[in-house]
Order: sequence, then structure tokens, then C-alpha cells
Amino acid sequence: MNTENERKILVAGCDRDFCASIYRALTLRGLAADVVFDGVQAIRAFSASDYDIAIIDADITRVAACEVADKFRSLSGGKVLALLNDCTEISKAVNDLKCDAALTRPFTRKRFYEVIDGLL
Amino acid sequence: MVKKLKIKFVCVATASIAALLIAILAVVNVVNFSLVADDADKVLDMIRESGGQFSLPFNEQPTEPAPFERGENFANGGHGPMGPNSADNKASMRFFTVAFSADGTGRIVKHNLSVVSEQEAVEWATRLKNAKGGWTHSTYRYETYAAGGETFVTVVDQARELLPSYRVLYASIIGTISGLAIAVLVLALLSDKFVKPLTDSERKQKKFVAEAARELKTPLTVIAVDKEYLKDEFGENDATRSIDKQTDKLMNLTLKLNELLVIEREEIERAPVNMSELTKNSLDGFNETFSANGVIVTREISENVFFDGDEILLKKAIYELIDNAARFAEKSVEVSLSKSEKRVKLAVSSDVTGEEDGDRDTAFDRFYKSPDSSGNGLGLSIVKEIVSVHGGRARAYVRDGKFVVKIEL
Repeated sequence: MNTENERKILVAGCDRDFCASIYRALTLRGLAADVVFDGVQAIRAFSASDYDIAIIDADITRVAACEVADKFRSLSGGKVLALLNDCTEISKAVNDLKCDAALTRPFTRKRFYEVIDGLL
Repeated sequence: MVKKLKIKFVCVATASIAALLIAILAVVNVVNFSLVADDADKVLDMIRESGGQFSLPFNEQPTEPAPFERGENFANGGHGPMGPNSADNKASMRFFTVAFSADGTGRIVKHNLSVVSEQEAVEWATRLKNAKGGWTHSTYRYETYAAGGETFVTVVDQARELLPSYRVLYASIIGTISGLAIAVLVLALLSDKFVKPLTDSERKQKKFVAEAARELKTPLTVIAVDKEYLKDEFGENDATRSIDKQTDKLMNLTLKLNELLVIEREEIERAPVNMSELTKNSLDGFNETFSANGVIVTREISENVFFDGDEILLKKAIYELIDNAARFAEKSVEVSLSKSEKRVKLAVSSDVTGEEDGDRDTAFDRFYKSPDSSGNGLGLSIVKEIVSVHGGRARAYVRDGKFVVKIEL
């Protein structure tokens, strides 16, 4: 686990523009962030570095989101924020991904910061 | 929903086939029995023309028969071997004729019906003498006529002639019932095939809407997040405020579309819901809005009104009703909740000007908006959908300067 000043977040999603937008929001908040675009890259990233939070898009490709979440928890022991398309996916996110928080698109930056602050 | 559609299809198709079969059954049997009645009347005519006797003297030879064609047998007075006026037919005719004098005394003219005695025949004729004619005791055809100062009553036994007609009737009833049973079976087996195109089309439509909504969400989130960066960098101005407004509108629309899709998709879980508390709490949430707009709210909410339903959905429906009223009310809003005969009734009305009295059920159409509305046109659609999945109904109308939305659960 990183210290308070070195909080690191991994953003794992399949839409590059969306990931870039999340990255911008995190860095503007003063948080260090890395971005990957599929499940394989995400697992590689967890294995190489410690992250406090993994923001995982439920639509991530190549490796299922729940598997990515499991791997992250076993390697880093950090928290998982699931990004969903549908509010009906929340129960699935809680059961399958065992996430610590979930956000349903579309959401505002304000709402995103509230959730991130809650996890930090 | 597919099951309901199949049941509806089978019921409608069966009803149509039943109507057709019953119509055919009715026509065939009515014509059949009419023909028997016509033949019986012809026989009665011939008995009348022979003075009530219609007998062949014991040593009389039959007349030369007409050529053996059924048409001629009946057209030429029926003298052919198959006709009603044939010697064989006359000999087998079972009937009696009773004549009544002016003082009401009856006498037997001809008695050729072994099931009744002469006295019984006179008693029977006495009961019929003031009637016009027709059927009596199911299988006997009779007529009454006056001749030579007397009233004649002739009764002819048509049981033998009616038997085939009854057989046709029974056979056609059995045929109709069997036909219907087979039709129901075939329709039930084939209903999938008939209903599938409809359900496929609806499923594709919903899938398209769901996928379109889904595809909108990510780009919309990008805009919603990044516009804040623009404001941070360049400060707020008319352009950023306009982007804020439109983004909020789009986000609201996407969320409501999603709600509609979820309601349509999900089976509801029912539990007792305190509708009185839901309504009051929802109204309380709008107090500030009403105060700010100078709108007076009148509440007529019965206590402890409970309904078995999905609390989250019902809360949503009440919220949308009040939100709709808050948007359009000029000076007043009225909310009433009651329960009668096991039905929960909730009505929300707002004052309107320049609207004629009448139904406004188009208000429940998706994306329907009044000209001066700033909403997305989905609020009342959501209300209707929620009411529908609970088995209730919703109405909208204008009366006496008020726009009223009434739901019944």
C-alpha cells in the first residue's frame, strides 16, 4: 500500500477517450494515475506496481472484469471502483466484482470525486 | 408478456373460429328444420284439400306415377313414387283431424294416429283449435282452418321426418365442439410461430433503444467530466453555462430512458407499501419549489393507504406526478389519495389556462411535451409504465381549468 501522498490509481477501460477523461479528472485532483485498455494490460500493471484503487470498466475486454478485480485484490489488496452502464448491473457488480463502490454512467465529475474521496 | 400475447392470440382466433362454426351450424340446422316444416305444411295442405281425410280407399289403385325424377315428384303435386302425395306416403301418414261445430262439440273426421285414442285426439285438438298452427309437442305439426261452418284441426306426426334432422343437429354440434377443440390445440401448438414475428420485432426495438442509450452514456460522461476542466481553465461564461444546461438535459434524458427500459424488463417484487407516507414525503420534497413559485398545494391524503407493490417504482411514479404538476402549475396544485373497493386512487392536478376540457391521454406518450415545456417528455411515460406493471391504469384529462392525472391501482 502506498502512503497518503503517493496514492496511485489504475484506470482499466476499453474506451480510450473515456479513460483519458477519467485520467484528466484524477490528475487535476492531484492523484497519480495509470491507464490501461484491456484486462491483460491491467493484470500486467498490477503485477508490476502497487495500486490503491483500481477503476475497472465492467465492459473491459480480453479478461472479464470480475477476474481483473479478483487478481487486483490478490496482488495489491486495494479497493475496486466498478464503472457500469446500467443501474441494474449494481447487484451484479457487488456480487461478481465484489467492488467497494460502483458508478453508473453517465456521471458528473463532482459525483466521481465524491466516490473517489470515499475510497481514499 | 409473450405468454399473454399467445393466450390472447389463441383466444381471439378460437372465438373467431367458434363464431364461424356456430354460424354454419345455425344456418344448416335452421334451413334443415325449415325444410321439414315446409314439407309438413304441404302434407297439411293436402289433408285439408281432401276434407281432412287424406286416405286411399282400400281397393283404389295408385295413379300412374310421374317419371322418376325427384324434381317432378314434388313439382307436379308430388304424385311420383318419392313424393308426399304418393300412394305409399298417404298410407303411412300418421295424423288425425277433428272438426268442431259452432257449439264447440268435436268429432273425429279421420283418426290415423295410434299413440292417442279418439277421445285423447279430441281433447288435444280442443287445446289447439284457437291457435294459428305450427309445432306442438315437439314433433307434431298442426293447422286449424274453417270450412263448412266448422273449425278443423289437423295434427300430423313428423317424428319420422324430424329424426334425420335431429341427427344432423347432434352431429353438427359434436362436429363443432370437436372442431373447436382441434382448433384450440392446433392454435396453441402454432401460437409460437404466429406470435414470434411480433415479439421478435418488439425485442429488436427494445434492444436497439437499450444499445443506443448505452452507446450514449460513455461519450456523455466524457463531456460531463471534461467540461469542468474547461471551466477550471477558462472560467465560467455563457458558452460553458450552455454546455452545462445541455449536458444536464442529455444526462437526465439518458437516465429516464434507462429507467423506462428497466421497468419494462423487470418482474416486480410486491410488498405492502404505505402510499400515504410515500405521497406525503414526496410532496414535502417539493415544498421549496412550490414556495419559490408561489404555488398553493392542497392535500387530501387518506391515512394508512396501503398497496402491494414495488416501493421504489411507486415512489418514482409519485415523484414524477408531482414533478409534472410542479412544472406546469400556475397557482395551485391538488393532490388526493384514497382507497375504495380495494383500489388505490391517486390524483394530482394543476391549474391551467386556455385549455379545453377533454381527455389528454397523449400526455403519456413518450417524448410528448407541451409547447412551453422544458422537460424531456418521459416523466408521465414512466408513470404509465409503472402503473401498468402493477396492473393499474392511468388517465389524464382537463376539466374546469385543471390538468388532472389520475392513477388507479
